[in-house]
Order: sequence, then structure tokens, then C-alpha cells
Amino acid sequence: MSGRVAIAGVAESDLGITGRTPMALQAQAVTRALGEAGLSLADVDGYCTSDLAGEYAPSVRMAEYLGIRPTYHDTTALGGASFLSQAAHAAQAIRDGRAEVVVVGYARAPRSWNPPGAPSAPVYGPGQYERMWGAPFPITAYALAARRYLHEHGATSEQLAAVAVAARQWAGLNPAAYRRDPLTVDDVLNSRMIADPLHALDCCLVTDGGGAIVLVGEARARDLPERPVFILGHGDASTHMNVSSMPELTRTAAASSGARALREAGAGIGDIDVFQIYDSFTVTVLLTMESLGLCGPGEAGALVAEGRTAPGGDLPTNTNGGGLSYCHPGEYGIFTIIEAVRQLRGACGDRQVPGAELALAHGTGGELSATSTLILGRD
Amino acid sequence: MTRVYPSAYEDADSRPFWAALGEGRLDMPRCDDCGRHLFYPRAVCTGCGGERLTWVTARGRATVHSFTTIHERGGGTYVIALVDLAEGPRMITEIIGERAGEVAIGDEVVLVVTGDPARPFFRLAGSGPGEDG
Repeated sequence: MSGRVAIAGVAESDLGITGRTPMALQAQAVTRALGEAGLSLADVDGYCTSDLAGEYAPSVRMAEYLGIRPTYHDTTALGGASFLSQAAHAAQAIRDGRAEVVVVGYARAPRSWNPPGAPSAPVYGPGQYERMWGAPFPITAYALAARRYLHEHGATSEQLAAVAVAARQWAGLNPAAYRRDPLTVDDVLNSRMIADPLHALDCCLVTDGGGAIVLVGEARARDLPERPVFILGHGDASTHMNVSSMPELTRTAAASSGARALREAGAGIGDIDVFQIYDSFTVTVLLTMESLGLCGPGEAGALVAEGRTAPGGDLPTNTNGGGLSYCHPGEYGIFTIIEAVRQLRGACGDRQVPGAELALAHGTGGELSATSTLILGRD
Repeated sequence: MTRVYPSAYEDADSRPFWAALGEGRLDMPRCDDCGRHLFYPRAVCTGCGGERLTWVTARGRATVHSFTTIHERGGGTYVIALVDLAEGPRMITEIIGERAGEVAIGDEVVLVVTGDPARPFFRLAGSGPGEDG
């Protein structure tokens, strides 16, 4: 089979502080997404996930939990970017006739369920040269990038804070968002400093949550209830794992993954109507916007501070409230796809970007280490 | 220093690094073929793919590329930095000394091997007891 592949169903699980296990939350997201797609677990022949409670063979474990026997598996691990890459791989598998109905799922429950571990375990492997200092990661890595960004471009903490404020403005329009109360730049600057220049409110939430998407070929999608959203382009890239090996602290792998995704889609960055950009920290968004070519180096801060990415702006970004205000269980990337699909369906209610036809979803994993970009569109 | 540092699980790649620190040195592999210094230590040259590597001792001079002050819940602070070693590689370190809080990007820093087990800290150049300019 050739042709386009569609996302036919999307869903998140319960979010916030759920009291549930990661397995239960992932199952909840999967069954909800299948239900929206008019399909059932019996239809699923492909399963993709990056993580299940930290154990190996996560797709096999989750398939067992769900009682399914997939013949296509993918556990591509790019941290928070994993699911965008898995969605693109699934689309290729469907085009190749290796699978018909593929689910990409994810959940963690850091507020309710954490795997038993040994917090005082020795540091080891290539990470030991960073972790030997006992500093908190990943925030230390992002703070090092943020400090360098401010130094190179004369950007300000107020501009970083503006990213969190814009996210909260969007969250106020999303009933599913975890944090919806109004937020100001001063609130961010007055929140506890954790790793200078990053304050507590420059950091993403830590919530329970899961998400899932269902992919099928275009012909099958036409028979299903939801308006199909097509995967038009994809790119992955990595530049390092540990931040000390990052070639340029202010330029991420988005420069490569974004360009390749846009090229495949036959689109330019200026054609995108709505952006879902991984926001582990405020600085992540500014660096990604610049690396994607949305603006020049050092220009993203002013652009966000002017409200261009906020509700009513011409570059609507993270319209669900993002990892900063909507939810963030650890690997947020699945939610960038879910929100992009909902925007393209026109199903976003108060936060709908009018007439959105082309969306960019972008994941970032590790310490600004690996990225995956998807271009999604509707007819 | 009242901070608590995690212990390290030494392996074949890192054992010479930790052993040198125990003797007051910062050592790293250098490629016999292309001359590149490698940090972190590893078994293959990231410049040319060569596997003929020799451990050498760093001069202990570096330039600050970026830094962050970590604020602990108990109210304490400490400075973590990315520094570019004179030999080329970039590494993460902690800046210590009375003037650690004044560190800026571009500052010259000097190696201080201290602690138990010893670690490769740096301090601002000119801030040591009776040395540097």
C-alpha cells in the first residue's frame, strides 16, 4: 500500500495527580484514542512506546497489559521526542503494508507511582563526568544553555518568563490544563531560583499523564468518524547526549530535524499555522524557535514578549498550555501531536486557531540532545 | 564544602581518570594519530576514529563557556560551569573559591584537584593563594 497515512484518533489519559499507575494511564489513553477513531483493541496490529515504568521491552509489556499481540513494534528512544519519531516510523510501516492500525502510547505517573530505585547509587558511564558534581539534571544543562543564550544575545530573564506567561494564557483556554490561574512575568521572576537564570516557573510541570494516537492508511481513515490529519513530513536529529558535548549551546538539533521535516512536506516555516514546541523549560522554546528558523538568532525572546506566540498572536504556539501549564509526565512529545491534530480538526473550542491547516509538532529529548519534528496537515 | 557528592562507579574507560585525580592530576586520552584530546575519556577518537590513545595530563587551564548558580532548598548555593580546557575539550566542573560567585563567561580558571575522592574543580585565575596574575 502506498499513499498518505492519517492520525484517526488521539487522546490523553487523566492528568494531574491521579493515584494511578503508568500502565493504567497508558491503557486509558489508548482505549480513549481507539474509541475516538471508531476502532477497538482487536484492530491494533502495531504498538509503539518509549517507556513503561523504566523496564526494557516496553511495547511488549504494554501489549500484554492491553491483551493484544502486535506484529509491528517500535521502542525508538529519543527521550521526549520519541513519539514523533515513532509516529513517522509507523506511517512508513503502514505505507509498506507491514501494519494497518498502529498505536503510539505513553504514560508516566511521577506524582503517584515511581519505580523503586536507589537514589544514592553511584554515577557511571559517560554521564558520570556531569553527574559527579551532584547538581540537579536536566535543569543544570538547560540553565547552562540559558545563561549562554542571555550572554550571546542580550536576551533577558523577562523574555524567558514571557514563554511561561504565554503558555499560561493558552492553558486558561484549555479545560484539561493542570495550571490555569493567571500568571505574570513578575510571578515567574519572583518564583524560587533553582538554577540561575531558571526559576521554578521557568520549569515544566511534573504531573501524571498519558497520551495515545492511532494511525491508519488514508483509505481506512475515510471510513472512520474523525476528520483525518495526515503526516506530511518528518525529521529526526541528535547532536549529543550530555550537554558538555553539545556543539553550540544555543542551536539545537531542530535546525536539522525541522528543515528535513519541512522539506519532506514541501512547506516552508512561514506556511505553518500552529506550532506545538516541546517546552521542558522556557529556554527550550526560544532555542527551538530560532533553530527551526522561525526567526533569527536572539530574536525569539522579543517575539514572545510581544505576544506573537500567545492567544491572538500570529505564531500561535503550545495552544494546550504546553508542558509549562497543561501537563508534563516526563516525555511530553506525545502531547505535541495530540494538540496539533485537534487544532487541525478545528476541535479546540476557545483556543482554536482559526482555519489552521498546517501544524508543526516538535519534540526535544535529553539535555537539548535529540529532536524530532512532524509536519501535519488536513485536506 | 559541605556538599555531598555522588560516588562514581569506575570502569575501564574512567579508571585512569579517577586514578590520576587521586594523585592530583586531570588526565585524559589523546589520539596518537590526529593529536586530539578527548574528554570525557573514551576508547575511540571522536576526530578520526583512531583507537591508539595515550593518557596525558591537562595543563589545568580553562576558559568559562557558561555557568549556573544552583540554589539548594536549604538556602546554599554553588556554581556549576562548562569550561573549555586549554587542550580543547569542554567539561562540566564546579567553580570554587571565595570569588566563585563572581564568575563570568570568558573568565580564565585554574584546576584545583581536591576532595575525597578527589574531583577536578576550578577556581578563578588569580584567586589562589599567592599565584597567577
